[in-house]
Amino acid sequence: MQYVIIGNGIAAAGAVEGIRHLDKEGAITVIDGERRGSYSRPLITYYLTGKRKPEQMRYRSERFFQQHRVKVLPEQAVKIDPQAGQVMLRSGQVLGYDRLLLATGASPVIPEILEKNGCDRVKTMYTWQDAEQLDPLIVPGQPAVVMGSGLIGLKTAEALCQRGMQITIIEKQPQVLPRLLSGPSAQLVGEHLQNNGMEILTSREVTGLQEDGQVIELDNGRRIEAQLVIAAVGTKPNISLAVAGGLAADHGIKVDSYLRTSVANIYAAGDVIETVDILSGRPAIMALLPLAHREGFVAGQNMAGGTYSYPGGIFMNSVNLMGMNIMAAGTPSAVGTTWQWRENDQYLEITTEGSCLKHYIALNMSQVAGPLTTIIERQMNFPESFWPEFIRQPDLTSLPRLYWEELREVSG
Amino acid sequence: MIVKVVCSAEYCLGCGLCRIHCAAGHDGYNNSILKAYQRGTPRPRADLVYDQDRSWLNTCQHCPDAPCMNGCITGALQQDEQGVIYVDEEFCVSCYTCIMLCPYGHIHVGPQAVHKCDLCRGRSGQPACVDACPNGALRLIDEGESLCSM
Repeated sequence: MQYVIIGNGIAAAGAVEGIRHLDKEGAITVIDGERRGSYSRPLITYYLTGKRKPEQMRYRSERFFQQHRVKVLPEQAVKIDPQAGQVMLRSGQVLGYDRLLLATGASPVIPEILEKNGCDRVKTMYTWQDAEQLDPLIVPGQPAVVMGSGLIGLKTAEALCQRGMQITIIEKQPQVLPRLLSGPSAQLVGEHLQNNGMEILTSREVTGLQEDGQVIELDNGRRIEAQLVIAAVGTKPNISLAVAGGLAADHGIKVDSYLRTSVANIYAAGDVIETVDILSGRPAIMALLPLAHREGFVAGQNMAGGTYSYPGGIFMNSVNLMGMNIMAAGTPSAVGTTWQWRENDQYLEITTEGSCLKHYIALNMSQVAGPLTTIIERQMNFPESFWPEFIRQPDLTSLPRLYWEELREVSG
Repeated sequence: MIVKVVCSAEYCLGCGLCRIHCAAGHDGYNNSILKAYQRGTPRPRADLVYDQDRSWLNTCQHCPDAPCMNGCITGALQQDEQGVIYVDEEFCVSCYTCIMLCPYGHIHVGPQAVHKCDLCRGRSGQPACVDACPNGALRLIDEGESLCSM
């Protein structure tokens, strides 16, 4: 059996593990278009601050690929031909496959306004190469503007701030981390970032950029000087290979519950696919690292003859910003009853619909997060009277006996 | 292969000796309780959970297909040949994704990296907690037995 994986990110590593779980013999080839080996993209901001050395960027070691007997080709895939079962590489080489996995990931979206005025000072922070290109442009004491206050925007702002730049964050929505946090929790995070010296402008849009990129214009007429502009306004799945190959795709590649695309022997996993948000039951692009690994693992097993179904996932994230830990999981738009708990710099907010937990936000409050994530993901039901009780003293001791018994059932 | 410590709540006295010996068995204290507790910063790798009339050590289940390891953004969480899930501290950046994913709430924030049970890798014999339990509530088990008789 010939397995070919396009992409060498998280889903690809998961797929290698999945394939080898069932098939110790088949030949696995990974096409590594970035030519960096397997590395962890969330580490690029740590690379900028020097907290990670190049040799500490790896996600899976070279030994991992040797042990799993994977051939990694530092090549770019330019075309897939599902009829012939072939992948064409930029070098002209043609690879045949029996099973193909598209793990081509996503790319940052460049706001139109910046694209039109494209200049050297506008950068994205998505790949290791992005970080390397940004590095020499950092000048301590100089102003930097970050467009977008999602995870990438804020982690980049943190790194630039730690390198001594003066940071202004511009967010279109009325709050930071709009896809993750509620109003009150975003307020706390915003204050924390401001206390660390960042300026945050919410409900603001960039309307113009001078040719040389040194001045940013906002919708309220304000002009901000910028040595550097970071565009961090979102990402989009890299579907062009799939679309050109005739595979069904919408925003992301369409897959069934076995992570098969519209062509039977081609699978897809990771940030490039459209999967299911299990809480709403609706299709969603869920570009989350833990899900990318899980999807890769499931797809890999199915490529090797397994029949594992992937139910989808829930939105969840954990990030540390200037010493504050921020976690959230579930449906941020859940309409139900919301409870809050706060003590010193710790904050917990939970939203329930009836007896079901739908969402939580935990700031510096990681102890109970794992069980809460599990309760949301497995859609566990507890008596309605439980949650108001729990929020008074939110710790492991307050979890119902039912919860621990359910875990025992699952692991036992 | 699954190897883990299980705690029988029926026998657990909630005394916490397991945690004391756990702390002394880590961070270079070389099993010296005096060094850990009088001259150092003891950091037990697991908590006791008290639930009404009973308690148990909420230690790592070293889950097959472990969510903490699979979700780790750097690959710092790894599994050794014995099935033990451990943290390679050099690679942990303390993002706490593993903490968000552990159903047991077992993993803890540490000073340089996250902390979790490593079944006392490198120690000869049983894990420190199992050796220290005065009432035989803790046992090291292999594959197939249930997690915790509560």
